[in-house]
Amino acid sequence: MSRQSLMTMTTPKSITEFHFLLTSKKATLPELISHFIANSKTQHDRLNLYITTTFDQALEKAKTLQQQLDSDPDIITKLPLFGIPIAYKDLFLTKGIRTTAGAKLLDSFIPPYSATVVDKLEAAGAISLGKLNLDAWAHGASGENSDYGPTRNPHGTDYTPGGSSSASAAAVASGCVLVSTGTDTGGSIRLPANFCGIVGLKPTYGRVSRYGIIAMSSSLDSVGHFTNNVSDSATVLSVTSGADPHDANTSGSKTFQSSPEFLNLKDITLGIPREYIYPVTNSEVKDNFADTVSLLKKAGANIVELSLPHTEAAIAVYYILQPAEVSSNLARFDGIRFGRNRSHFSPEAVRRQLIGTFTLSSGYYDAYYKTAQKVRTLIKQEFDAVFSKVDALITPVSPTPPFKIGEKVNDPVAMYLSDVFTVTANIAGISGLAIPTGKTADGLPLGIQLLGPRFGEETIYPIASQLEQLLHD
Amino acid sequence: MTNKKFTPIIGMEIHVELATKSKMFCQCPATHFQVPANTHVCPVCLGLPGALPVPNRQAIEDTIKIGLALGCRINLHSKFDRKHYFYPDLPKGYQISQYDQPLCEGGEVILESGKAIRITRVHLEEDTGKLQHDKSEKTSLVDFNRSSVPLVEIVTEPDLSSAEEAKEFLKLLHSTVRFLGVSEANMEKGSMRLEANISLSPDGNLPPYKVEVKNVNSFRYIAAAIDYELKRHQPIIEAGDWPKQETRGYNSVTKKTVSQRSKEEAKDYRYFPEPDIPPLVFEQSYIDSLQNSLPLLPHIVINTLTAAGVRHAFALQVSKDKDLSHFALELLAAKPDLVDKLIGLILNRKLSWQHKSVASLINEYQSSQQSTKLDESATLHLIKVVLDENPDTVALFKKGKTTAIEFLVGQVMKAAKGQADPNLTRTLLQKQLK
Amino acid sequence: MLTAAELDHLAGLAHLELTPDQKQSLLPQLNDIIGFIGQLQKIPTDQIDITSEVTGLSNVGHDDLTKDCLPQKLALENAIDSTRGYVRVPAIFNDDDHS
Repeated sequence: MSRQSLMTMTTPKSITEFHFLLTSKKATLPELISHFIANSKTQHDRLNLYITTTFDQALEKAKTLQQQLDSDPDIITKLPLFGIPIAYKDLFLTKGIRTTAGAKLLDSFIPPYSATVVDKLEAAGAISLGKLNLDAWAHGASGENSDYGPTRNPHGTDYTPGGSSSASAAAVASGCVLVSTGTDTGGSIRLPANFCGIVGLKPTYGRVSRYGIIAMSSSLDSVGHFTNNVSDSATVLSVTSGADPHDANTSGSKTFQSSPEFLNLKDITLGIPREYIYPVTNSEVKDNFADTVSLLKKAGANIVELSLPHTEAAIAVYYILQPAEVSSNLARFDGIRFGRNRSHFSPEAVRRQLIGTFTLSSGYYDAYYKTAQKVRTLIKQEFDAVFSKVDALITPVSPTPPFKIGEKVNDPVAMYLSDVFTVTANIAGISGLAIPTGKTADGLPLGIQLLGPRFGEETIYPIASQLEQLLHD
Repeated sequence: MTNKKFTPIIGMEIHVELATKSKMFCQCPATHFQVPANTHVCPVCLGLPGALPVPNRQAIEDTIKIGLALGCRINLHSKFDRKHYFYPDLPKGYQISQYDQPLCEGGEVILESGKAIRITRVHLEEDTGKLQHDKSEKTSLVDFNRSSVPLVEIVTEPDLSSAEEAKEFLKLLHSTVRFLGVSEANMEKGSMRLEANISLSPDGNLPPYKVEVKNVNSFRYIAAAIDYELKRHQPIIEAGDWPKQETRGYNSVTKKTVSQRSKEEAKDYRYFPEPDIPPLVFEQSYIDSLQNSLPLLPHIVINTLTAAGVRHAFALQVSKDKDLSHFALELLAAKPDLVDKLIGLILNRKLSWQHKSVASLINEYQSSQQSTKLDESATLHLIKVVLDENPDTVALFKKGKTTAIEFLVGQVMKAAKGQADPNLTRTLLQKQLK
Repeated sequence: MLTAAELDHLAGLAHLELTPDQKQSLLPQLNDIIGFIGQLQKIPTDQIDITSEVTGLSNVGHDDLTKDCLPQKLALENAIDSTRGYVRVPAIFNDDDHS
């Protein structure tokens, strides 16, 4: 293929499309990877996506894999992510490749090992283009807390792409990669997926190994990913999921297998918790959500309104448990074995560590930390009860469409409130999938999330797939 | 000077390094003595970003065994907690330890005097790396080979009242741990570390201070340090003051303790349950099977025998020999009324116990007691001699003083040197005197 | 209400050195946050058990077998200062500053 056609080639948007180009010999793998590298360079200048790029290594791997494909055409069936361009949120350790957590403190950290998920994805054939920008230490909901400058929303560069997995979402949405990884501790995958108009999965806590991913809040962190469509999302989960002897909380976790079975929406009951509806004042979000629900209803799904009374308490629970665990997990950054010293923490990281230290300190532990752990029980019990009545919940992801860069950055509490619909899933450890369902008048993405029980990906993926189909029609 | 009755109040805290092959939260080799620095390390024990702990099952079992051997109650629900403080040899900025649900609680060790030393708790945690000062004293060097090696912490109530008691307690603890085979418990190598909390009470009440003595690596030195401290505290208290609450070390050259740091402010470790490790839940049947699997421990042998009336000196001797210990306990079960006597005979080499069953040893003893008794004709022979030698007593008996026969029985026993059976003698005498 | 002295204490516990400017801006922000999270105390929780982990798992561990370690060079690679196989830090005078 000529250079010219490389440039004008339409960027494939799915794994299926990408593999078809290879198997039909319409493009070689090096050509395809070069295309994604070119996109990455252009979009990075516009959106500030990459902290570290690995373009040369990517081309090398593409050449090697192409040779393997030439001698064994069946290899694509064996490696589900064969040749797929991917990039990692810069919280994922990559052996020999700088990993910064979006923080200046770690700007020269070269890990001596890779995250289990990185190894799994690369063993499945994925080719990494680099490490993606994020709110430093994953502290944020907009990407504005990065020590490497904020990332911009591909649908409107004055707007934030959401956070903390800001560039992970923006990179997929802008055609730089087909898959990117992220973490969701209080909404950090679902919110950016929502703001960038792509699919984002927050898997069940303990479904995917956290080993080798810089910990933010150990009992809340969930390791997930971004894709352009539901089917690709399921494929990636089938690679990343499963028990890892290095992560005790994944014990017994079975590898996710996508089911080819057709799901009849008439057999599905979806719940809408009223606590996720009445706080939404933005009419575009409200209308889009109502339209989406109608679509599902018309297709036969049973829709039930219900209540999760402790939803409002969830943000307070989250902002006690999470900073406490953050203050603990950041204690290892002492500038002795790696990284710079603690004076290099940015203001948000300092704030969270101080709050966390406060809630754990003697005299305050019972009133704050222990109380939060008790309310956590109430929230979890509520979800357990609700999932015995419905198959999944459907809710908005954010009370507002994407907000502008600079709009909330000086008001930490306002920023924290963006998480109001997402933190509950982390507190309960359940599964959540963000799906794009429309656009605002300004062309900014709108979407919803499906929440399923623990290990409920087997339920929410088929529902999402049906919804995707309905929206397409 | 007033004549106050001073009571030493001493508690001990002992750390025992387990001899597992792998570390507590990772699978690096746990050996670190004379190993090149930072060669037995991995992301987990180095505390690298992204690393996660996975507990060593053997270490948990070993800790439970120590608790059982010390008479503790095992918590069927237990967990790990994070204990936070900053120090260069603590890579994560927290130590994974146990706080409010330790593996073992509430045991006791009985000293020779019969005094019980209560064990508050036995819990499991990870060790830190090793810090050493460079000769120039301007820098310190850190080696993480020891980081995350399994460490068992044993804490006693302040029940000890003297350096001698402390030494005896420590020796018992040391031999128990070694008997269990869970640790080398070598103080020179640092696999058993001692700390004493010492205070002196002028009136029997718990005083409002305690001095911690640390980094002492022998029983002799800790006893010396305790004695030194008690002598140091007394004049201060007599003057109306309390000794300063602090940490001290012991200098074996000057034979004095030295202040290391003021322990004024209680440290806030901000404990919370370790989220990376699921809790531990044990079935009682598992704990019972561990209890049954315990080797016969010295203090258990001593306690069991002395409780049954065996002299402490005998019990102590027996407890030093594993096989004899088993034999003695079987003996106790078979013939509790004779066990002290038989053990005495065994220890004095009057009875041999090896290659013999308990039943046959008992038989041997009992028949040896019977075969020394005289038979009827021998007894009769002696009776005739005694009757001949005591005509006045015979006359008294025939006149109606029937109790005179007892004198004659006694004479026969005397002549037989105790070998005559008193009942048989009496019966035969009565026949003769008719 | 967190006082300036309490803020100093927290910063000490967290090993974070704060400039006077930082302290000045942090104090009201932290009090805002503490006020916000303090609302939880209105919820009756006396009879409720804590949840410290959501997985429901128990008794996860590793067998007592050894695995390969990191080579010394890699272990020390990111340290700001190392020598002769050791990580090096400015001198610590109080030998047992820890428990």
